[in-house]
Amino acid sequence: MTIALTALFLALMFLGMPVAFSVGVSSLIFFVTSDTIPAQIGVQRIASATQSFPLLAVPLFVLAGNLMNASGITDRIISLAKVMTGWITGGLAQVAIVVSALMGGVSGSAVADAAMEARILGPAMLKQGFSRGFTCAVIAVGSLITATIPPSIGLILYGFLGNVSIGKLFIGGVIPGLLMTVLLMGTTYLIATKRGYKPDNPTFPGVMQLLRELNHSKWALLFPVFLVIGIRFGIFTPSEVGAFAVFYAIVVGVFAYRQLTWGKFNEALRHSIHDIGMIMLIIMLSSMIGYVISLEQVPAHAAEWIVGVTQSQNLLLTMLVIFILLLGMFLESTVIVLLLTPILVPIVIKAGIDPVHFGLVMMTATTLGGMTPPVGVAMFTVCGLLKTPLDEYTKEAIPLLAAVIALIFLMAFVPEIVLFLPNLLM
Amino acid sequence: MTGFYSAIARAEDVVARVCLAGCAALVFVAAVSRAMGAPVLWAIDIAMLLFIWCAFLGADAALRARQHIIIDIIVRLFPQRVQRALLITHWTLIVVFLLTLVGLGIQLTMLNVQRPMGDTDISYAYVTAAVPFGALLMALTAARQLMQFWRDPKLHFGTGGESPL
Repeated sequence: MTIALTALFLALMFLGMPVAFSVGVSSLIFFVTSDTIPAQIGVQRIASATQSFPLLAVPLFVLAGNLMNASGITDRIISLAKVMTGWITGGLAQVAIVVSALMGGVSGSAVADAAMEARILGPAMLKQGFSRGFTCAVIAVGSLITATIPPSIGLILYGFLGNVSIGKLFIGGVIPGLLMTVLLMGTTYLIATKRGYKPDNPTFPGVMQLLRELNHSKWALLFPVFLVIGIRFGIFTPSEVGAFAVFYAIVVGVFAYRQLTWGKFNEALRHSIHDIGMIMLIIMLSSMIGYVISLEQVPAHAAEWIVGVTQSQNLLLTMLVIFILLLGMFLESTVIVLLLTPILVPIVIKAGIDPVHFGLVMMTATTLGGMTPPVGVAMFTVCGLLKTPLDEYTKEAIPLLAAVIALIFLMAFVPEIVLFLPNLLM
Repeated sequence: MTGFYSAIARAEDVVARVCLAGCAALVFVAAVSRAMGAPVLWAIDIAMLLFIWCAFLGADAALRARQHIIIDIIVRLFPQRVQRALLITHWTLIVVFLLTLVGLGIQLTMLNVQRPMGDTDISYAYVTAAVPFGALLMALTAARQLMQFWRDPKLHFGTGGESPL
């Protein structure tokens, strides 16, 4: 039954039905044709999927992200990044990567970051002579940093579905996010040197200028510090931090930067409602499939099978990473998290792997799926906005993707990269 | 009919914005009150009630704006007439699916009238009612889009929507 259900879901999805409805239609058919389970159970699952306090972090961080854009925090982050790294070889490409890292502390969505940078930095990069493919690749792959540095919507979903501490996952994302920033800047430096891409500024603008920009963006830079402290001391749960992020963005936007008007506030709410509606419809409708998966004991069987195949944690992680990367080429990231987390978390726990460690490895690989051709939403968004064909993107993205994949394996084999901070702090 | 539908869309937008802002405000109140040692227990329950309504009204708004993610990399290679046939089939299936949800959702809501929500005296039926109500709104939106598709002989797949991750 599970196989027929999966086949129908995949067929509908690749024939162009919206992903949320592909899940919904195929699982509802299961409930309606089942002799033993009343069909209302399926609808019951849809409603109860939303009645979870940890999941409230999703709408709150989506709203906070949109409010940060409306409050002027994003603009200041971009000017700061230009002063910090505009003088390095690779100029605006380095700026794009640093913007992703700085935005990572206030936003939890790679695609939102990629779309913002494609609109604001993309045209300027093309004008300075960066190739279209390279511009899109740096912006799309770089945005993965935003999804790794806390807060992160992907990690909230993983923690929610796998019953893993979202606070620990958040703190575990700090070091991998910073490593990814250094790694991508290094790769960009090598490519830029080879191609002769010029810096944005000829020289470093000076310490005074840097301090001035740091002062302008202090509210954006302080937020992740508050977030980590709040979670570290157990003062607040991630959902509560989400509500504080909303409050913080409003206060900074109204009182510090004086840019957040009533109209912009409502526009941010409206934009968030669309984002929330889109993600929640997938979550709610796929909760029906979750019921079927657990009913047929798929996780238990899969765990037994995989643990029987290999005793080696490294081999298991290698297999899972390759599997997720391959799936990520064809499936949308949200779908992968929703379908695989309930199956994989029991497997890795049984194999003795820390679920926080696995969460960062899995979510980095899953979110990277949004940047790998032929199907990837971050890639589609950036290439669509900058009118770039996928083959140009693919050619230029390969070195950057290779660098990130190397980091994913490093994270898989050296758990301390992820676990050092959570173990130290919590 | 168009006037009626755009009135629904405007009302939906206002209610959804109120639900989201209210949800954020209530979680904030709950967090502050808990930190001060006098937790307001009902705040979280109401926040989650507002959340499901915001999610369904937002899902309809996103459907109207055609923002739901579609993977069209394969179907865009098909002849235009096949693409048109697929879109019409999909949207017919979606309308049928949503109307089924309306029916099942009403039955479920009736079963939950007596059940209280969390720590409150409010009926859980207010939570489950979001399912048939939201599905009905989406069925209306999808049916209108289906009618537009039917009238458009040059219909084909556009680009997919955005992703939240």
